Amino acid sequence: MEQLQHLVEYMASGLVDRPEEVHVDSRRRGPAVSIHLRVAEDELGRVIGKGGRIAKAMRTMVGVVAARQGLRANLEIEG
Amino acid sequence: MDRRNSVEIQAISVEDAVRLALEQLGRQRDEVEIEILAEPTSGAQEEEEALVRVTVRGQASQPSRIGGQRARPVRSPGGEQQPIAVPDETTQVAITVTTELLAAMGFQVRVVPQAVTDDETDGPPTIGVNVLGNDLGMLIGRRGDHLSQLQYLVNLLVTRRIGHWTRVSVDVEGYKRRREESLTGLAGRVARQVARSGRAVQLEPMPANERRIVHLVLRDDPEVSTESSGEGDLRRVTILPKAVVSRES
Repeated sequence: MEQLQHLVEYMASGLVDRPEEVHVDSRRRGPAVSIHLRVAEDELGRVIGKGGRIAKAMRTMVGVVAARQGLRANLEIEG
Repeated sequence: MDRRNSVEIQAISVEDAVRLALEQLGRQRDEVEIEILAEPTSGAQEEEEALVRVTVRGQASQPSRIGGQRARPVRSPGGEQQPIAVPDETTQVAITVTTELLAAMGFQVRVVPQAVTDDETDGPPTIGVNVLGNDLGMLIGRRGDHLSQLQYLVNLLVTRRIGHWTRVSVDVEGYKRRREESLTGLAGRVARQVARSGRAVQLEPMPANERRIVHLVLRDDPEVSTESSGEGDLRRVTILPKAVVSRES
């Protein structure tokens, strides 16, 4: 779960102009992990992308890591 | 384009792979060295295809384009030509970003520059990196879907880090390169079949980057043309005979 949080932090920080405003927290219930990403409101587009393309790519990476650990992860994004 | 001296081909059996490789090289079996890089296995989870490298005897592979620069062939003491990779700054950044992202995902990998096929499109040159390590199948995903997403993220992260738009081709264990080789062979074979029979052939559905390879390979073919049809995951290439002047009139 720490790995998942770290991964989301790494990706989001590399995509936005103000990485200091990136906040990630996560909650776990059994095999289900819920990850919450918050970025500055005017930078939401940088982590969501046109048609949600960037969010989808981040979710794919999160899914790969979760699957390796026998977990299911859900990434929520807000500004 | 120069005649190639070496190809790597993936197919369902070693024999098939060798046959396809000889076809592509236009050589006979006694003219080449055959290296079996992977034996086909049909394990419980995934079927592995055979992978062979076939090299024309007495000739080293041609120097290829590496890391956005023309690789310089050098004479090694052994007299063999070897391309040496001199990664430029963008390639270095791409290697760093890819390594960092995969480390954040818990993958211990080695990332090396990889030659990319010159795709002759506008914009900055594509640079290539290849990810090496153990147990990386999940980074490729079904039909290379995970790999496409990984590549997209690497492109975004590299572009932001260097401050201008760049294109990075990310490969995992040479997966895309092998697909490219086998699709190039497939396109050529099917094109000849279409030209002979005069009947169009529809290929299996493929992702966009793979359809593009087929279109490019046959772009200048005098006897066939290509088009894509279908939506989403079902989009596929059809190879059609070019309209021929009727001989009957």
